[in-house]
Amino acid sequence: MRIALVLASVPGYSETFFRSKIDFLSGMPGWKVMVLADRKATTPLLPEGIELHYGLGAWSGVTFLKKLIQYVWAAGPIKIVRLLAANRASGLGWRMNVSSLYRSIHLLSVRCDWLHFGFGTMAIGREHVAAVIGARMAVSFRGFDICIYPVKHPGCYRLTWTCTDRVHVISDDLRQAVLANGCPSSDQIIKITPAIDTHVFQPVRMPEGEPHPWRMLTLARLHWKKGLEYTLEALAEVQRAGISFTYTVVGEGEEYERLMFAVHQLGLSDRVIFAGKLPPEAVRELLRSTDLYLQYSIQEGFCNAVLEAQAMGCLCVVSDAEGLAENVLHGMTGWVVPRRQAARLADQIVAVCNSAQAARAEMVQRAAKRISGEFSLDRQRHEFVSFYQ
Amino acid sequence: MAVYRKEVSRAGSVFDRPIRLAVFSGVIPSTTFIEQMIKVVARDGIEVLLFGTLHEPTRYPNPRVKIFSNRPGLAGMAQGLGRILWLLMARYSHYRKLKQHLGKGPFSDSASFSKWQKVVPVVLHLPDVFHVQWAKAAGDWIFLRDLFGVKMVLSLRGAHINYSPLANSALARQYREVFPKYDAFHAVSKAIAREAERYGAAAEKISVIYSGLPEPANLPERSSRTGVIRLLAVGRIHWKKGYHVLLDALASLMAEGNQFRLTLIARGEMTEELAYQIHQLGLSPLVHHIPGLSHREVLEQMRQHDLLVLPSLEEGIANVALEAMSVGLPVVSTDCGGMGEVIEDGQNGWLVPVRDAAGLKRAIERASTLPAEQLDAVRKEAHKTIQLRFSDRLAMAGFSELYRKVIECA
Repeated sequence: MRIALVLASVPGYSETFFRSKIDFLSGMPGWKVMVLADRKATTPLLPEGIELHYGLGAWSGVTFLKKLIQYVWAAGPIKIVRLLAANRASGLGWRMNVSSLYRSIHLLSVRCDWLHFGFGTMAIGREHVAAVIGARMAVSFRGFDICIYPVKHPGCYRLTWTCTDRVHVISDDLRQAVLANGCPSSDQIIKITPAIDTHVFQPVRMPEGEPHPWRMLTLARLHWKKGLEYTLEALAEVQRAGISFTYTVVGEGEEYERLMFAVHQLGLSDRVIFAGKLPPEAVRELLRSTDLYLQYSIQEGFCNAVLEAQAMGCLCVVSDAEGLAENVLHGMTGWVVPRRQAARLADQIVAVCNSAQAARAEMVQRAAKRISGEFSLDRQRHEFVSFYQ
Repeated sequence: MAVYRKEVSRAGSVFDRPIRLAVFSGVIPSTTFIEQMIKVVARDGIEVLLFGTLHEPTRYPNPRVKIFSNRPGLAGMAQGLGRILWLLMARYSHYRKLKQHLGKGPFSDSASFSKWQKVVPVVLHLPDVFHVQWAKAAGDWIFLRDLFGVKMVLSLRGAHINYSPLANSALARQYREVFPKYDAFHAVSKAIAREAERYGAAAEKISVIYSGLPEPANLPERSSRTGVIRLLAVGRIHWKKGYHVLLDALASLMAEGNQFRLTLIARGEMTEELAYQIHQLGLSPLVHHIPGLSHREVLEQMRQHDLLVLPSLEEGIANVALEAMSVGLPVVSTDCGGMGEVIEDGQNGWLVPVRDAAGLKRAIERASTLPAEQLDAVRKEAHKTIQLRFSDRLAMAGFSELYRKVIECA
C-alpha cells in the first residue's frame, strides 16, 4: 500500500495527529508513506526513510527552475494535459487552471494507491490530481477547513465531493458539517478521532486539600478561534467571586497584543502569564501541576491538548465547539459550556472550584480511564488501516 | 487667539511673528482628526509645516499650511540628495550636529541615507514647535530638542498609549525614557492622559483638548421609528472596535424576538473572525456591511438610522459618536477611553461597560423603546453637549493655549 499525504508543510511537534499516523503506517510491512508538502519546514520531524517532496512554492531562484524542469519532466506531457483538460471540463478558467497545475506539478509524478489531502483546503483546485495519477483520493477535515473557510468561500468543496473516495473527519460534529456543506453521502465519511500516547501522558495523583491558588492552564495558539478573550472575561468574573487562581497560556500568535490589553483592562495582570511556546517536556511539567484545564474555543476540531490534560489528571472545562463536546463528556469526564458566553463559563469555573474534592477526584479518574480506553494510539492505528483498506 | 513669537530683525528691531509649528504624523494627508487639527490651528494664524511621506496629492486652501513631504522611489532619492547638499552648504553646523547624532554620514549606506532623508527637511526648516502625532515616533524626534532647542509636543492617542506598550516592553521602556523630555502633551481625553502618566508624562504638562466639530446646524427632525430597530456602527474593522461584542449582543436581541438590522460601515474586508461569528450566530440576514463611504454619505446614513452603537474596547474619543450626536442620532457607547467624558448615561446617550454584551443589548432595548418625547430630550442634550464642549472653536483655543505655554516656557 502506497499512501501519499499532501500537507501544507512537514508536521512539527505539535501536529501529533499526522506524526503518529506517519510513524505507524510507514512501519507496517508492505506499506509506504510519502509526504508531499507545499512549504519547507525548518525542522522537519519525520521518521527516517520517509519520501519527502516539496511543491514549487518551497523553492526560489535557480533551484526553482531546476525543480520546475524536474517535475515537468517526471510528470510527462500526458498527465499535464489530462489535468488541464479535467480542470477545464470542471469549468476552471485559464488562470485558475495554470495555478492548479503550478500547485499540483509535484504530485503528478507520484506513484501511490491513495492521495490523501491532510486538510480540506489543500484539495481545492487539485481535485482531479488523484484521478490523473491513477490513485484513490481521501480528504481529512479537521475543523477550520470545514467550519470557517466555507463561510467566506461558499461552495468551495462542490468539486471535492464528486472526486473524493473517502472523507476523514475527527468528530461527529465535523461529520455533520461535512454533510451540511454538500457532501452527498454519509457512507464515504469515516470518523477517526485524534489519539495520544497514554504511556507518555500518565495521570498524576490529585493532591490532598483544596488548591490554593487554583492553577489553571490553556495550551493554544493565540488566535481568535481559541476563545481566549472570552476565557479572560470569565476569569475576571471568577476573580470577583473571590476564587484565588493563576492562569497560564502556552502558545504564540497574532492576538498577543489584543490579549495583553484584555488582561490589563480586566485587571488580571497579576494572575495571567503568557508563557509563549514551550518544549514538550515543559508542557508536560505544567500539565502535571495544573488543577484546572480550560479550552473555551469558538471553533475546535477535537483538540489533542484536552486529551492530554485529561490523561494527566487535570479537571477540564471546555466549550461546546465541534469535537470538544465529544472529547469531554459534560458532567461525566469534565464540563462543557456553550461557546461565546463568558458569564456561563465563569459560573462553571466557580462551581468546579467550590465542588467537593471527592467529586472532583472521581471526575478526574473517569476522564483518565476513558482517554486510555478510547483515545489510545493503538486504536487510532487500527482505524487508519481499515480506512485505507 | 493667535500665538506669536518675538523675533529680532536684521536691522535690530523686535517684531512679533506667528509661531512656526511642525506637524509629523508619518503620512500626508493624515487621519481625519489630525487633518481637522491642522485646519483648526492654521485658521488661528499659526504657520503649519507638514512633514512625512505624501500618500496622495494634497492641497490646503489655507496658505499657512506648507508641505515638505518626502517622495517615494527614485524621485525621492534625488530630492533627498538635493536637500542633504543644501543642508551641507547652507547650514554646515546643523549638518555636523546631525552627523554626530546619527552616527554616520548620509552616504555611508542605504539605511543611513534613508534616516537622513527623513530628518533633513525638518532640520532645514526648523520650527519653533515640533508636534509628534503618534507616541511610537516620540523617540525618533527628541534630538530636535537636544540639538536645536526645538520645543517638543506629543499627542497622546489611542493604541499607542492604551495597549501597544502593554504588549511591547521595549516600547514601554522607550516611553519612560523619552516622555520626561517632552515639553508638553496633547491628550485627546482625560482617560488617556491618566494612562500616559504611567509612562512618565507629567500631569502638569498635559493639556486635554477634545476633538472639535464645526458649529452644528440646528437639530434636524428625525423620521418616525419603524417596527425594526435600525442600528448603525461606523469604524474600521479592528478588534479594538469590539464588533464581536456587538454581534453577541445582537444574538441575544434576536433570541428574544426583537426586530432589528445593523448597518456596519467599516473600511476593508470583513475578517474571518467576524464573518464566522455572523454566520455562527445566524445573523447573516440582519447585518449589512458597507466597506467604506465618504463622510457625506456617512452623515446621510446617520439620518436613516435610529441608533449609533459604539461597542469599542478602546478609544480616545470616537469622532463618529460626536458627529452622530451633532446630527441628532442617539448613541449607545461603551465606557471605553474618554467616552465617559462625552456621554452621561441616560442624559445625552447611553453608556455601558466595555466587553458587556448583555449590557449593550439592554441599552439598545432601552434606547429603542424610549417614548418619543424622552428620546427627543436625549437628542437635544447630546446636541447641546457638542455645541458646548466639542466645538472646533474650543479645540482651536486649546491648541493656541498649549503652544503659547510651550513658547513662553522658553
